[in-house]
Amino acid sequence: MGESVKQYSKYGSYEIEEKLELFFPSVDVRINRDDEGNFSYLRKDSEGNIVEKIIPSVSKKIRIEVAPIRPLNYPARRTNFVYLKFDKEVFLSEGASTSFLVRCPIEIGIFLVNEPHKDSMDWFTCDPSSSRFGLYGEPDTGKLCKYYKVPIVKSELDSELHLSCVMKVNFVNLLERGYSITKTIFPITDHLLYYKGEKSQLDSLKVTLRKRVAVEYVETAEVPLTQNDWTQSPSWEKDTQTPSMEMGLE
Amino acid sequence: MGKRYADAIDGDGVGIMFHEIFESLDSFEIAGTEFSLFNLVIGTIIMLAGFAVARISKSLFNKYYAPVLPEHTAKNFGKMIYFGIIIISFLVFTTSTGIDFSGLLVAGGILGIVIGFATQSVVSNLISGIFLLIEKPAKQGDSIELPDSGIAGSFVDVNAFSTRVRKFDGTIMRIPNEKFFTSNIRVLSDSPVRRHETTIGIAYKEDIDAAIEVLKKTICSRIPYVLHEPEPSFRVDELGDSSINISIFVWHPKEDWGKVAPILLKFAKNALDDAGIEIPFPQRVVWKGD
Repeated sequence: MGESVKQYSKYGSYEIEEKLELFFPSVDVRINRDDEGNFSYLRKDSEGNIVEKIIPSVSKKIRIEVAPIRPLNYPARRTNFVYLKFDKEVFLSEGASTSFLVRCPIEIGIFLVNEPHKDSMDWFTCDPSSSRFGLYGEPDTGKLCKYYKVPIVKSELDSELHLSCVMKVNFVNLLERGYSITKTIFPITDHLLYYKGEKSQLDSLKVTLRKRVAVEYVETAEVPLTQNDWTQSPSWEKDTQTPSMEMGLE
Repeated sequence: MGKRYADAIDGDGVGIMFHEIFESLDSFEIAGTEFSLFNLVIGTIIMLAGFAVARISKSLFNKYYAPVLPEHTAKNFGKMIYFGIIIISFLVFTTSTGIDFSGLLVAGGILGIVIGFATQSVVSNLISGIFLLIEKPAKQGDSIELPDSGIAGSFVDVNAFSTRVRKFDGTIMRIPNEKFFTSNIRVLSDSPVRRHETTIGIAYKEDIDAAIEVLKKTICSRIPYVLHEPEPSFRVDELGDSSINISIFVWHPKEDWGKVAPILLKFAKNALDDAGIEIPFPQRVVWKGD
Protein backbone atom coordinates (compact mmCIF):
# COMPACT_ATOMS: atom_id res chain seq x y z
CA MET A 1 0.00 0.00 0.00
CA GLY A 2 1.52 3.26 -1.11
CA GLU A 3 2.07 6.23 1.16
CA SER A 4 -0.70 8.82 0.78
CA VAL A 5 0.44 12.13 -0.65
CA LYS A 6 -0.86 15.19 1.17
CA GLN A 7 -2.80 17.46 -1.15
CA TYR A 8 -1.88 21.09 -0.56
CA SER A 9 -4.57 23.74 -0.63
CA LYS A 10 -4.66 26.00 -3.64
CA TYR A 11 -4.55 29.77 -3.78
CA GLY A 12 -7.90 31.53 -3.85
CA SER A 13 -10.98 32.39 -1.80
CA TYR A 14 -12.57 30.09 0.74
CA GLU A 15 -15.96 30.60 2.37
CA ILE A 16 -16.23 29.22 5.90
CA GLU A 17 -19.47 28.41 7.66
CA GLU A 18 -18.35 25.81 10.19
CA LYS A 19 -14.74 24.79 9.64
CA LEU A 20 -11.93 24.79 7.13
CA GLU A 21 -8.62 22.98 7.03
CA LEU A 22 -5.82 24.20 4.79
CA PHE A 23 -2.62 22.30 4.16
CA PHE A 24 0.66 23.85 3.08
CA PRO A 25 4.19 22.46 2.95
CA SER A 26 5.15 22.17 6.66
CA VAL A 27 2.22 24.34 7.78
CA ASP A 28 -1.41 23.49 8.61
CA VAL A 29 -4.18 26.02 9.15
CA ARG A 30 -7.51 25.32 10.82
CA ILE A 31 -10.44 27.71 11.10
CA ASN A 32 -13.45 26.68 13.21
CA ARG A 33 -16.63 28.34 14.27
CA ASP A 34 -17.08 28.28 18.06
CA ASP A 35 -20.25 28.14 20.16
CA GLU A 36 -20.42 31.91 20.52
CA GLY A 37 -20.45 32.47 16.78
CA ASN A 38 -16.86 33.67 16.53
CA PHE A 39 -14.28 31.93 14.41
CA SER A 40 -10.99 30.62 15.76
CA TYR A 41 -7.87 30.52 13.61
CA LEU A 42 -5.01 28.14 14.36
CA ARG A 43 -1.76 27.78 12.44
CA LYS A 44 0.76 25.10 13.28
CA ASP A 45 4.10 24.53 11.60
CA SER A 46 6.33 21.48 11.50
CA GLU A 47 8.49 22.80 14.36
CA GLY A 48 5.47 22.94 16.65
CA ASN A 49 5.05 26.72 16.58
CA ILE A 50 1.40 27.64 17.03
CA VAL A 51 -0.39 30.88 16.20
CA GLU A 52 -3.96 31.29 17.43
CA LYS A 53 -6.37 34.10 16.66
CA ILE A 54 -10.03 34.82 17.30
CA ILE A 55 -12.03 36.32 14.45
CA PRO A 56 -15.16 37.99 15.83
CA SER A 57 -17.95 37.79 13.29
CA VAL A 58 -21.51 39.05 13.18
CA SER A 59 -22.40 37.01 10.12
CA LYS A 60 -22.72 33.24 9.95
CA LYS A 61 -19.87 32.83 7.51
CA ILE A 62 -16.60 34.48 6.70
CA ARG A 63 -14.49 34.51 3.58
CA ILE A 64 -10.73 34.29 3.47
CA GLU A 65 -8.27 34.50 0.61
CA VAL A 66 -5.05 32.51 0.44
CA ALA A 67 -2.57 34.26 -1.79
CA PRO A 68 1.16 34.45 -2.46
CA ILE A 69 2.84 37.53 -0.99
CA ARG A 70 6.30 39.06 -1.33
CA PRO A 71 9.02 37.18 0.55
CA LEU A 72 9.97 39.97 2.94
CA ASN A 73 8.61 39.01 6.35
CA TYR A 74 10.57 35.97 7.59
CA PRO A 75 12.53 36.00 9.87
CA ALA A 76 11.75 39.73 10.31
CA ARG A 77 10.79 42.63 8.10
CA ARG A 78 14.01 44.58 7.56
CA THR A 79 14.07 45.64 3.91
CA ASN A 80 12.09 46.11 0.71
CA PHE A 81 14.88 44.71 -1.45
CA VAL A 82 15.44 41.24 -2.82
CA TYR A 83 18.79 39.82 -3.92
CA LEU A 84 18.38 36.96 -6.38
CA LYS A 85 21.55 34.95 -7.01
CA PHE A 86 21.14 32.91 -10.21
CA ASP A 87 22.21 29.29 -10.27
CA LYS A 88 23.82 29.85 -13.68
CA GLU A 89 25.85 32.75 -14.97
CA VAL A 90 24.42 34.62 -17.98
CA PHE A 91 26.93 36.29 -20.27
CA LEU A 92 25.62 39.32 -22.11
CA SER A 93 27.82 40.64 -24.90
CA GLU A 94 28.24 44.32 -25.74
CA GLY A 95 24.94 45.92 -26.80
CA ALA A 96 22.99 42.67 -26.40
CA SER A 97 19.72 42.08 -24.61
CA THR A 98 18.06 38.94 -23.33
CA SER A 99 15.21 37.84 -21.16
CA PHE A 100 14.80 34.76 -19.03
CA LEU A 101 12.59 33.42 -16.29
CA VAL A 102 13.64 32.84 -12.71
CA ARG A 103 11.92 31.30 -9.75
CA CYS A 104 11.42 33.84 -6.98
CA PRO A 105 10.46 32.67 -3.47
CA ILE A 106 7.16 33.76 -1.96
CA GLU A 107 5.44 33.75 1.38
CA ILE A 108 1.78 32.97 1.97
CA GLY A 109 -0.71 35.58 3.11
CA ILE A 110 -4.10 34.85 4.66
CA PHE A 111 -6.53 37.73 4.09
CA LEU A 112 -9.94 38.22 5.65
CA VAL A 113 -12.25 39.37 2.88
CA ASN A 114 -14.68 42.14 3.78
CA GLU A 115 -15.57 43.39 0.32
CA PRO A 116 -14.21 45.65 -0.97
CA HIS A 117 -11.43 45.32 1.65
CA LYS A 118 -9.04 42.44 2.10
CA ASP A 119 -7.47 42.66 5.54
CA SER A 120 -4.08 41.08 6.19
CA MET A 121 -4.74 38.47 8.87
CA ASP A 122 -1.70 36.20 8.91
CA TRP A 123 1.40 35.30 6.94
CA PHE A 124 3.93 32.51 6.99
CA THR A 125 6.64 30.94 4.94
CA CYS A 126 6.59 27.32 3.87
CA ASP A 127 10.36 27.23 3.40
CA PRO A 128 12.01 29.07 6.30
CA SER A 129 15.40 27.47 5.68
CA SER A 130 15.90 29.32 2.39
CA SER A 131 14.78 32.73 3.63
CA ARG A 132 17.94 34.62 4.51
CA PHE A 133 19.49 38.09 4.36
CA GLY A 134 22.27 39.33 2.11
CA LEU A 135 24.14 42.56 1.55
CA TYR A 136 24.70 44.22 -1.80
CA GLY A 137 27.63 46.62 -1.64
CA GLU A 138 29.88 47.66 1.20
CA PRO A 139 28.88 47.25 4.86
CA ASP A 140 28.66 51.02 5.44
CA THR A 141 26.84 52.04 2.25
CA GLY A 142 25.36 48.80 0.94
CA LYS A 143 21.78 47.66 0.72
CA LEU A 144 20.40 45.00 3.02
CA CYS A 145 18.29 42.55 0.99
CA LYS A 146 16.43 39.30 1.35
CA TYR A 147 18.79 36.81 -0.24
CA TYR A 148 17.75 33.82 -2.31
CA LYS A 149 19.59 31.44 -4.60
CA VAL A 150 17.21 30.90 -7.51
CA PRO A 151 17.16 28.68 -10.58
CA ILE A 152 16.58 29.87 -14.12
CA VAL A 153 13.46 28.11 -15.42
CA LYS A 154 11.92 27.57 -18.84
CA SER A 155 8.22 28.27 -18.44
CA GLU A 156 6.02 30.81 -16.72
CA LEU A 157 4.23 27.84 -15.18
CA ASP A 158 7.34 26.53 -13.42
CA SER A 159 6.41 28.03 -10.07
CA GLU A 160 6.11 25.74 -7.03
CA LEU A 161 2.86 25.85 -5.09
CA HIS A 162 3.28 27.90 -1.87
CA LEU A 163 7.06 28.10 -2.34
CA SER A 164 7.90 30.19 -5.37
CA CYS A 165 6.59 32.24 -8.26
CA VAL A 166 8.11 32.92 -11.66
CA MET A 167 9.48 36.29 -12.70
CA LYS A 168 10.63 37.40 -16.13
CA VAL A 169 13.88 39.38 -16.14
CA ASN A 170 14.85 41.46 -19.16
CA PHE A 171 18.53 42.36 -19.33
CA VAL A 172 19.87 45.07 -21.64
CA ASN A 173 23.61 45.69 -21.84
CA LEU A 174 24.41 49.21 -23.03
CA LEU A 175 28.03 48.98 -21.88
CA GLU A 176 30.92 48.85 -24.31
CA ARG A 177 31.93 45.39 -23.12
CA GLY A 178 30.40 42.05 -22.36
CA TYR A 179 29.19 41.38 -18.86
CA SER A 180 28.53 38.26 -16.79
CA ILE A 181 25.29 38.43 -14.87
CA THR A 182 25.05 36.38 -11.72
CA LYS A 183 22.49 38.25 -9.65
CA THR A 184 19.88 40.98 -9.58
CA ILE A 185 18.84 43.30 -6.78
CA PHE A 186 15.57 45.21 -6.88
CA PRO A 187 12.87 46.69 -4.60
CA ILE A 188 10.24 43.95 -4.69
CA THR A 189 7.62 46.19 -3.09
CA ASP A 190 7.22 47.74 -6.55
CA HIS A 191 6.13 44.37 -7.92
CA LEU A 192 2.70 42.80 -7.75
CA LEU A 193 2.04 39.08 -7.47
CA TYR A 194 -0.58 37.18 -9.44
CA TYR A 195 -1.92 33.67 -9.05
CA LYS A 196 -4.03 31.19 -10.97
CA GLY A 197 -4.83 27.85 -9.38
CA GLU A 198 -1.51 26.48 -8.19
CA LYS A 199 0.69 28.86 -10.17
CA SER A 200 1.95 32.33 -9.36
CA GLN A 201 3.85 35.07 -11.17
CA LEU A 202 5.55 38.33 -10.26
CA ASP A 203 5.66 41.50 -12.32
CA SER A 204 8.62 41.49 -14.71
CA LEU A 205 11.89 43.26 -14.09
CA LYS A 206 13.88 45.25 -16.60
CA VAL A 207 17.59 45.59 -15.82
CA THR A 208 19.72 47.93 -17.91
CA LEU A 209 23.48 48.10 -17.62
CA ARG A 210 24.51 51.67 -18.46
CA LYS A 211 27.48 53.96 -18.37
CA ARG A 212 27.37 57.62 -17.40
CA VAL A 213 30.65 59.43 -18.07
CA ALA A 214 33.08 56.94 -16.48
CA VAL A 215 30.67 55.29 -14.06
CA GLU A 216 29.00 52.00 -14.90
CA TYR A 217 25.74 51.38 -13.13
CA VAL A 218 22.61 49.23 -13.14
CA GLU A 219 19.13 50.62 -13.63
CA THR A 220 16.20 48.43 -12.60
CA ALA A 221 12.55 49.06 -13.33
CA GLU A 222 9.36 47.10 -12.77
CA VAL A 223 7.32 46.05 -15.85
CA PRO A 224 3.69 45.17 -15.03
CA LEU A 225 2.25 41.88 -16.24
CA THR A 226 -0.53 42.13 -18.77
CA GLN A 227 -2.29 38.74 -18.51
CA ASN A 228 -5.87 39.38 -17.51
CA ASP A 229 -6.84 35.88 -16.45
CA TRP A 230 -4.51 35.84 -13.42
CA THR A 231 -5.79 37.10 -10.07
CA GLN A 232 -3.78 39.84 -8.42
CA SER A 233 -2.70 39.00 -4.87
CA PRO A 234 -3.70 41.47 -2.17
CA SER A 235 -0.72 43.43 -0.84
CA TRP A 236 0.43 42.36 2.59
CA GLU A 237 2.47 45.45 3.25
CA LYS A 238 2.12 49.06 2.14
CA ASP A 239 3.22 49.49 -1.46
CA THR A 240 6.00 51.84 -2.32
CA GLN A 241 6.49 52.89 -5.89
CA THR A 242 9.95 53.50 -7.28
CA PRO A 243 9.62 53.92 -11.06
CA SER A 244 13.27 53.03 -11.55
CA MET A 245 16.34 52.65 -9.39
CA GLU A 246 20.06 53.02 -9.98
CA MET A 247 22.74 51.04 -8.18
CA GLY A 248 26.48 50.72 -8.50
CA LEU A 249 27.74 47.83 -10.59
CA GLU A 250 29.65 45.13 -8.73
CA MET B 1 -12.24 112.49 40.82
CA GLY B 2 -15.50 110.61 41.60
CA LYS B 3 -17.26 112.54 38.87
CA ARG B 4 -14.64 111.53 36.29
CA TYR B 5 -15.15 107.81 37.09
CA ALA B 6 -18.87 108.23 36.89
CA ASP B 7 -18.50 109.91 33.48
CA ALA B 8 -16.30 107.11 32.25
CA ILE B 9 -18.83 104.46 33.35
CA ASP B 10 -21.67 106.46 31.94
CA GLY B 11 -19.85 106.49 28.63
CA ASP B 12 -19.70 102.67 28.62
CA GLY B 13 -15.95 102.92 28.62
CA VAL B 14 -14.75 100.39 31.14
CA GLY B 15 -11.39 100.31 29.38
CA ILE B 16 -11.18 104.08 29.52
CA MET B 17 -11.95 103.91 33.22
CA PHE B 18 -9.11 101.47 33.93
CA HIS B 19 -6.77 103.49 31.75
CA GLU B 20 -7.53 106.60 33.73
CA ILE B 21 -7.18 104.77 37.06
CA PHE B 22 -3.70 103.57 36.19
CA GLU B 23 -2.68 106.86 34.62
CA SER B 24 -3.76 108.67 37.68
CA LEU B 25 -1.46 106.60 39.87
CA ASP B 26 1.94 108.04 40.43
CA SER B 27 4.90 106.64 38.64
CA PHE B 28 7.79 105.33 40.71
CA GLU B 29 11.51 105.09 40.24
CA ILE B 30 13.90 102.11 40.52
CA ALA B 31 17.65 102.56 40.02
CA GLY B 32 17.13 105.89 38.28
CA THR B 33 14.57 104.50 35.82
CA GLU B 34 11.03 105.78 36.02
CA PHE B 35 8.22 103.20 35.76
CA SER B 36 4.50 103.69 35.62
CA LEU B 37 2.13 101.09 36.94
CA PHE B 38 0.18 101.27 33.67
CA ASN B 39 3.24 100.37 31.61
CA LEU B 40 4.14 97.53 33.98
CA VAL B 41 0.63 96.07 33.69
CA ILE B 42 0.79 96.32 29.88
CA GLY B 43 4.25 94.75 29.92
CA THR B 44 3.03 91.90 32.15
CA ILE B 45 0.10 91.30 29.81
CA ILE B 46 2.55 91.19 26.87
CA MET B 47 4.74 88.67 28.67
CA LEU B 48 1.76 86.49 29.63
CA ALA B 49 0.46 86.69 26.06
CA GLY B 50 3.97 85.78 24.86
CA PHE B 51 4.01 82.66 27.06
CA ALA B 52 0.55 81.69 25.83
CA VAL B 53 1.45 82.24 22.15
CA ALA B 54 4.73 80.32 22.62
CA ARG B 55 2.92 77.40 24.20
CA ILE B 56 0.16 77.35 21.56
CA SER B 57 2.69 77.67 18.71
CA LYS B 58 4.73 74.80 20.10
CA SER B 59 1.62 72.66 20.50
CA LEU B 60 0.51 73.39 16.93
CA PHE B 61 3.98 72.63 15.65
CA ASN B 62 4.10 69.36 17.59
CA LYS B 63 0.68 68.38 16.30
CA TYR B 64 0.96 69.25 12.61
CA TYR B 65 4.63 69.46 11.60
CA ALA B 66 6.68 67.47 14.11
CA PRO B 67 5.30 64.07 13.02
CA VAL B 68 6.76 64.49 9.52
CA LEU B 69 10.19 65.59 10.80
CA PRO B 70 12.90 63.43 12.34
CA GLU B 71 12.26 63.22 16.09
CA HIS B 72 15.47 64.97 17.01
CA THR B 73 14.94 67.85 14.56
CA ALA B 74 11.32 68.24 15.64
CA LYS B 75 12.32 68.50 19.29
CA ASN B 76 14.93 71.18 18.58
CA PHE B 77 12.57 73.15 16.34
CA GLY B 78 9.93 73.00 19.06
CA LYS B 79 12.37 74.45 21.58
CA MET B 80 13.48 77.17 19.14
CA ILE B 81 9.90 78.24 18.48
CA TYR B 82 9.03 78.31 22.19
CA PHE B 83 12.06 80.20 23.42
CA GLY B 84 12.17 82.44 20.32
CA ILE B 85 8.66 83.75 21.02
CA ILE B 86 9.45 84.24 24.71
CA ILE B 87 12.60 86.20 23.90
CA ILE B 88 10.67 88.42 21.45
CA SER B 89 7.99 88.95 24.12
CA PHE B 90 10.65 89.93 26.63
CA LEU B 91 12.13 92.49 24.21
CA VAL B 92 8.67 93.97 23.64
CA PHE B 93 8.15 93.99 27.41
CA THR B 94 11.36 95.91 28.06
CA THR B 95 10.53 98.40 25.30
CA SER B 96 6.99 99.01 26.55
CA THR B 97 8.04 99.45 30.16
CA GLY B 98 10.95 101.69 29.24
CA ILE B 99 13.57 99.55 30.96
CA ASP B 100 16.98 100.70 29.78
CA PHE B 101 19.70 98.07 30.03
CA SER B 102 22.51 100.39 28.96
CA GLY B 103 23.26 101.18 32.58
CA LEU B 104 23.76 97.52 33.28
CA LEU B 105 26.28 97.10 30.47
CA VAL B 106 29.28 98.48 32.40
CA ALA B 107 28.44 96.57 35.54
CA GLY B 108 27.48 93.59 33.38
CA GLY B 109 30.88 93.61 31.69
CA ILE B 110 32.73 93.19 34.96
CA LEU B 111 30.13 90.81 36.28
CA GLY B 112 30.35 88.87 33.03
CA ILE B 113 34.05 88.20 33.51
CA VAL B 114 33.44 86.99 37.04
CA ILE B 115 30.50 84.84 35.98
CA GLY B 116 32.46 83.66 32.95
CA PHE B 117 35.20 82.22 35.11
CA ALA B 118 32.70 80.76 37.53
CA THR B 119 30.55 79.17 34.86
CA GLN B 120 33.25 78.09 32.47
CA SER B 121 32.06 74.49 32.33
CA VAL B 122 28.44 75.58 31.96
CA VAL B 123 29.29 77.75 28.94
CA SER B 124 31.53 75.04 27.57
CA ASN B 125 28.68 72.54 27.79
CA LEU B 126 26.32 75.02 26.15
CA ILE B 127 28.68 75.68 23.24
CA SER B 128 29.43 71.95 22.88
CA GLY B 129 25.67 71.32 22.78
CA ILE B 130 25.32 73.78 19.89
CA PHE B 131 28.13 72.07 18.00
CA LEU B 132 26.59 68.67 18.68
CA LEU B 133 23.32 69.91 17.22
CA ILE B 134 25.19 71.10 14.13
CA GLU B 135 27.40 68.03 13.75
CA LYS B 136 24.75 65.43 14.66
CA PRO B 137 27.12 62.55 15.48
CA ALA B 138 24.12 60.25 15.94
CA LYS B 139 20.40 60.26 15.33
CA GLN B 140 17.81 59.80 18.02
CA GLY B 141 17.41 56.08 18.69
CA ASP B 142 20.82 55.14 17.27
CA SER B 143 22.79 52.60 19.27
CA ILE B 144 26.05 54.22 20.31
CA GLU B 145 29.05 53.39 22.42
CA LEU B 146 31.57 55.67 24.10
CA PRO B 147 34.56 53.33 24.32
CA ASP B 148 36.54 55.65 26.60
CA SER B 149 33.75 55.85 29.18
CA GLY B 150 32.46 52.32 28.73
CA ILE B 151 28.97 53.67 28.06
CA ALA B 152 26.78 51.94 25.49
CA GLY B 153 23.12 52.51 24.76
CA SER B 154 20.55 54.27 22.69
CA PHE B 155 21.05 57.95 21.91
CA VAL B 156 18.15 59.94 23.40
CA ASP B 157 18.75 63.66 22.84
CA VAL B 158 21.02 66.68 23.21
CA ASN B 159 19.85 69.28 25.73
CA ALA B 160 21.31 72.67 26.63
CA PHE B 161 23.99 71.29 28.95
CA SER B 162 23.92 67.52 28.64
CA THR B 163 23.32 64.61 26.34
CA ARG B 164 21.22 61.68 27.38
CA VAL B 165 21.89 58.06 26.52
CA ARG B 166 19.53 55.25 27.42
CA LYS B 167 21.75 52.36 28.44
CA PHE B 168 20.81 48.87 27.33
CA ASP B 169 19.75 48.09 30.91
CA GLY B 170 17.03 50.74 30.55
CA THR B 171 18.60 53.43 32.74
CA ILE B 172 19.30 56.93 31.45
CA MET B 173 22.88 58.21 31.53
CA ARG B 174 23.33 61.99 31.51
CA ILE B 175 26.62 63.00 29.95
CA PRO B 176 27.85 66.63 29.96
CA ASN B 177 27.87 67.95 26.40
CA GLU B 178 31.55 68.86 26.54
CA LYS B 179 32.52 65.32 27.54
CA PHE B 180 30.26 63.81 24.90
CA PHE B 181 31.56 66.18 22.22
CA THR B 182 35.20 65.37 22.93
CA SER B 183 34.64 61.61 23.31
CA ASN B 184 35.18 58.94 20.70
CA ILE B 185 31.68 57.97 19.65
CA ARG B 186 31.06 54.59 18.04
CA VAL B 187 27.73 54.53 16.22
CA LEU B 188 26.56 50.93 16.14
CA SER B 189 23.47 51.35 13.98
CA ASP B 190 24.56 53.64 11.17
CA SER B 191 25.43 50.87 8.72
CA PRO B 192 22.76 48.47 7.48
CA VAL B 193 24.71 45.49 8.80
CA ARG B 194 27.09 44.66 11.65
CA ARG B 195 29.65 41.94 12.15
CA HIS B 196 29.90 39.77 15.22
CA GLU B 197 32.81 37.53 16.03
CA THR B 198 33.48 34.79 18.51
CA THR B 199 36.17 32.15 19.03
CA ILE B 200 35.89 28.44 19.63
CA GLY B 201 38.66 25.88 20.19
CA ILE B 202 38.99 22.35 18.79
CA ALA B 203 41.41 19.59 19.80
CA TYR B 204 44.73 19.27 17.98
CA LYS B 205 43.78 15.85 16.66
CA GLU B 206 40.69 17.19 14.83
CA ASP B 207 40.43 18.09 11.14
CA ILE B 208 40.24 21.89 10.91
CA ASP B 209 38.47 21.98 7.52
CA ALA B 210 35.86 19.50 8.68
CA ALA B 211 35.22 21.55 11.83
CA ILE B 212 34.84 24.75 9.79
CA GLU B 213 32.45 23.01 7.41
CA VAL B 214 30.30 21.80 10.31
CA LEU B 215 30.26 25.25 11.90
CA LYS B 216 29.36 26.99 8.63
CA LYS B 217 26.56 24.58 7.81
CA THR B 218 25.00 24.89 11.26
CA ILE B 219 25.29 28.67 11.50
CA CYS B 220 23.78 29.17 8.04
CA SER B 221 20.91 26.76 8.60
CA ARG B 222 20.05 27.45 12.24
CA ILE B 223 20.44 31.21 12.66
CA PRO B 224 18.17 32.94 10.14
CA TYR B 225 19.52 36.41 10.90
CA VAL B 226 23.05 35.56 9.76
CA LEU B 227 23.74 37.02 6.32
CA HIS B 228 24.49 34.60 3.48
CA GLU B 229 26.14 37.35 1.47
CA PRO B 230 28.78 38.00 2.74
CA GLU B 231 28.71 34.50 4.16
CA PRO B 232 30.18 33.56 7.54
CA SER B 233 33.97 33.45 7.49
CA PHE B 234 36.42 31.53 9.64
CA ARG B 235 40.03 32.02 10.56
CA VAL B 236 42.42 29.80 12.47
CA ASP B 237 43.38 32.37 15.00
CA GLU B 238 45.84 30.68 17.28
CA LEU B 239 47.53 27.39 18.06
CA GLY B 240 46.71 27.71 21.74
CA ASP B 241 47.98 25.85 24.79
CA SER B 242 45.15 23.36 24.72
CA SER B 243 43.28 23.92 21.46
CA ILE B 244 43.32 25.24 17.93
CA ASN B 245 41.29 28.43 18.21
CA ILE B 246 38.99 29.24 15.30
CA SER B 247 37.51 32.72 15.00
CA ILE B 248 34.00 32.91 13.55
CA PHE B 249 32.85 36.10 11.79
CA VAL B 250 29.18 36.55 10.92
CA TRP B 251 27.28 39.53 9.56
CA HIS B 252 23.73 40.35 10.61
CA PRO B 253 21.21 43.21 10.14
CA LYS B 254 22.06 46.08 12.47
CA GLU B 255 18.88 45.60 14.51
CA ASP B 256 19.48 41.93 15.19
CA TRP B 257 22.62 41.77 17.32
CA GLY B 258 20.51 40.30 20.12
CA LYS B 259 19.28 37.49 17.87
CA VAL B 260 22.75 36.43 16.77
CA ALA B 261 25.46 37.26 19.29
CA PRO B 262 24.00 35.55 22.39
CA ILE B 263 23.34 32.26 20.57
CA LEU B 264 26.24 32.01 18.12
CA LEU B 265 28.63 30.28 20.49
CA LYS B 266 25.89 27.94 21.72
CA PHE B 267 25.10 26.77 18.17
CA ALA B 268 28.82 26.45 17.37
CA LYS B 269 29.41 24.30 20.45
CA ASN B 270 26.37 22.11 19.76
CA ALA B 271 27.42 21.67 16.13
CA LEU B 272 30.88 20.44 17.11
CA ASP B 273 29.40 18.16 19.79
CA ASP B 274 26.95 16.64 17.28
CA ALA B 275 29.77 16.06 14.79
CA GLY B 276 31.91 14.42 17.47
CA ILE B 277 34.59 17.09 17.24
CA GLU B 278 36.29 17.55 20.59
CA ILE B 279 36.39 20.91 22.34
CA PRO B 280 39.29 20.29 24.76
CA PHE B 281 39.53 21.43 28.36
CA PRO B 282 42.62 23.41 29.26
CA GLN B 283 45.28 20.78 29.86
CA ARG B 284 48.93 20.55 30.73
CA VAL B 285 51.25 17.64 29.89
CA VAL B 286 53.76 16.92 32.68
CA TRP B 287 56.79 14.84 31.80
CA LYS B 288 58.40 13.00 34.68
CA GLY B 289 62.15 12.63 34.27
CA ASP B 290 63.62 9.15 34.93
